[in-house]
Amino acid sequence: MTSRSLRLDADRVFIAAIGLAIVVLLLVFVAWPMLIIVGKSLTTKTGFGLDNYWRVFGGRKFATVTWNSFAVSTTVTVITVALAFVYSYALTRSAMPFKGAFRFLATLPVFAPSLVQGIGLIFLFGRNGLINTTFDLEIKIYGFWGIVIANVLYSLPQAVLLISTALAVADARTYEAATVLGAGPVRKFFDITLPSVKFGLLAAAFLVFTIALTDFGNPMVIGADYTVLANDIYNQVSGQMNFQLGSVVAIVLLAPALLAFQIERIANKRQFALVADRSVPLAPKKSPLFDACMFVAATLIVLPIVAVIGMVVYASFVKGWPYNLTLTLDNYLNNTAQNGYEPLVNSVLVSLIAAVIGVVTTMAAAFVIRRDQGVVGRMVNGIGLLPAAVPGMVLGLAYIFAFNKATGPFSLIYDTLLMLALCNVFHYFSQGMLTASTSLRQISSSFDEASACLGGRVVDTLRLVTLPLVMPTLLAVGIFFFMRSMVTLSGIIFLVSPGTNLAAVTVMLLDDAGATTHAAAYSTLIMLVVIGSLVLLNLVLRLLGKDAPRAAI
Amino acid sequence: MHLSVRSVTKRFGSVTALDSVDVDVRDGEFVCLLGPSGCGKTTLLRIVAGLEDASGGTVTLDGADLTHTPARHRGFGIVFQSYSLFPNLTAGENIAYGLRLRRVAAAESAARVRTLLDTVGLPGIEERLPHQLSGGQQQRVAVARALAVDPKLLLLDEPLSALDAKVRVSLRDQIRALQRRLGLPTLMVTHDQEEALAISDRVICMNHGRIEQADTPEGLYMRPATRFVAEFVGHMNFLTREDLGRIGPIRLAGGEASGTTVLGIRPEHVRLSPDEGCGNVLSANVVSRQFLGATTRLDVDVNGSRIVVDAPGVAPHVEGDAVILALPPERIREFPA
Repeated sequence: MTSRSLRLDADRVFIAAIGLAIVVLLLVFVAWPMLIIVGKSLTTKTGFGLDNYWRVFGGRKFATVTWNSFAVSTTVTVITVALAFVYSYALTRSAMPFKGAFRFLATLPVFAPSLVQGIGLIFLFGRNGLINTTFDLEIKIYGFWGIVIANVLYSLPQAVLLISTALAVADARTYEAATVLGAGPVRKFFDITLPSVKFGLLAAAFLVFTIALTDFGNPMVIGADYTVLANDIYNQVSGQMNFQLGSVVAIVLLAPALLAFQIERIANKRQFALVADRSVPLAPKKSPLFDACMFVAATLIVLPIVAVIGMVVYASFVKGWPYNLTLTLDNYLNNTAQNGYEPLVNSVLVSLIAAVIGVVTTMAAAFVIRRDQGVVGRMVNGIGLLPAAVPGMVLGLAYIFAFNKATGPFSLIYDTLLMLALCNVFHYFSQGMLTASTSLRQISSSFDEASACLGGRVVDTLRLVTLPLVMPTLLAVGIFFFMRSMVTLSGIIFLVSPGTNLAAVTVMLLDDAGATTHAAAYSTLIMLVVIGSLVLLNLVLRLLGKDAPRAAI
Repeated sequence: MHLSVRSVTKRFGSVTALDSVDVDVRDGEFVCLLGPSGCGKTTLLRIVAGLEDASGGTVTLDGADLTHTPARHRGFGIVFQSYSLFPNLTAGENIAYGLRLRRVAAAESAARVRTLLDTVGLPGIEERLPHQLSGGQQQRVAVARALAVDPKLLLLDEPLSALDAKVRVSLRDQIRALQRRLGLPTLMVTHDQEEALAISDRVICMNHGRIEQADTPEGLYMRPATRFVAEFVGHMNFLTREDLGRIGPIRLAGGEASGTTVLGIRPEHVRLSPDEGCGNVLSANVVSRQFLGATTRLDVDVNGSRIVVDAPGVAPHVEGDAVILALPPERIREFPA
């Protein structure tokens, strides 16, 4: 139960002050840049107006590019959700062996920049790809299908995560009741299973759609002449220095992303409102034939993911792709084309800074939401969820307009690694905040109250009770920001400069320059850093005697 | 020591959770707030604790106004229903928590923890973590934690509800004995009428945000002031005017029932096979029989009205038997219709 109070108490002032600080940060680093990008799109040579929009909409290519984007995203969504459902079904409803390995392998794409799928596919099916040269075929992977396949592989982990969670919370008693009433397996599937995950499937569909729509890395690498909206923004801004037109395309991209995000959120809420408190978890029974079928299906689905990433790792040790397949460490030792390993070091630094700032700000936001049921708490919750709907490229472009100035109050962060870290923090703010909120909500409010009655201030409770309890979550949120900052390309693509280049961008540049094996080596190193940090986290948690939290992906 | 709650009102939006409630807890007194869920008892306790603000009214302790004092400055001890021990701290650290905030020296604090653990009957468990303790042990540590800071008032929010029946009774007795020994004024919330009657000096029975009756356990049971109290505490047969029409006139201690009130009599006060000269003798048929161990409960029919009778021990009657029963006038209470 909550209450409104008129009394001014040090504790309430403390919470409100933190809340206001978070609100100010969100206004400065999310709301304001977004306003500016809208303003920019409306700025014309003669003043204010919709001229830029008419120019973009009237352009010959615009209709094609928009159509391309939606065609790719829709195709990716249909294929990914279908595959993810089968895969999740195998994970949760069959008794197939090696489930742990399957779970891990399906998360692999999250550990690498999105363009790794594209690069791996080219190693396999490209003009000089292994398949084409070995079997003397002429499979053409570039273009529509290349982007589709790459994005299916890239978005599959996130769809599997959502759908398998929805499938996992089934109540065994429902199935037992149906069995007793005489329902066969097919009946139960259509009468119980499908209806019980329909909102989960819907949420997954819109999530995948958003990922495919806003992805930039894969179309860049494998799209060839097939342009989608994300590339168009990049071409307008980085290629033609046309910021106004870039802003217009960014807003065109933002609109469906906002809509898809809203639908995903509503669907997600509906899905998990279905969970009863005391359901009896469903334990899949052994059924050799069914388990074997599921095992084969899951293997066929996960194989391309592993193959594509495996190809990249393999290629990183090859002398000259594809004619000289002698193994060598040259790609690692002489990777000097793009300032050597400076971008990788930058990426680690940016990711560490983002992890620290991300943990502090999202945890503070979650704390305020939990402890202040008044205006401030609701404001933090409302604005904190905004960034989730903003595509990285749009936020990055907005940051150029808002902060990339050598003068003024933001000159201190202009062209620094801190700026890149901030962009990542606010790009992924919502997910971090939601994870932290969920974890805080699991901590009984009676701890706060017991502490208060014993004479503890809010700060005392935080220090002695709450923080030690949420430590595993803090680490998980930290690793989430770290991982995302290591691999993201879309958010920071506009903000890097030769002095602040990052690893994911370097992969893109190396690949663009034709140094594919070097790009592969660089990608492999990024994956190593990310997986290494996860291993490290688990070691730390084991030393602390805590269970590892599920990595927030 | 005297806690005094005056005209406390609490509204959540348009819902009135507490409607101008007065409560007193005097020195050394054990007072229970009893009522069904949603009656406002927990809200009242939380207002006393300072965890909730009252919409109106005052809370004073020995005349000092506490209404706007934050919980952490009130110096009350509290024990919650759910195990609210800090799961990251050992039992000893939990008990010492309040002392640590008051910057009590380590040696002194350790000695105090040892004494308190002895007091609650759990010597030597300082190093255990809450999840290594049973539910009853956790609640005893929670009591020790509340006592560590020498509270002026002990607040208990359904502290026994989550425990097994056996543990519940033994811990109830321990808490009562401890409270007597320390002479600590205590306010406890419970929805369990047996618990309230067994443990309290005074019981405050609440319903819909109002106090129905504040009385000793005996007074509450023997002289319920309202139909609600009569029904909530124990079991009561009610006879309306329609019932009197079917079973005939009923004599009360002070004359004949007028029919404008509702009459009530407890099942154990109805006499089976009464002696000569008893008032209000009725003939009835046994409709159903439940053997409850110490008593046998008979549901009987008197010309279409039902009366529940508790007979001591094993009653010989079976379903369909004709019985004679009497409603002793001095046992009948009148309630407004």
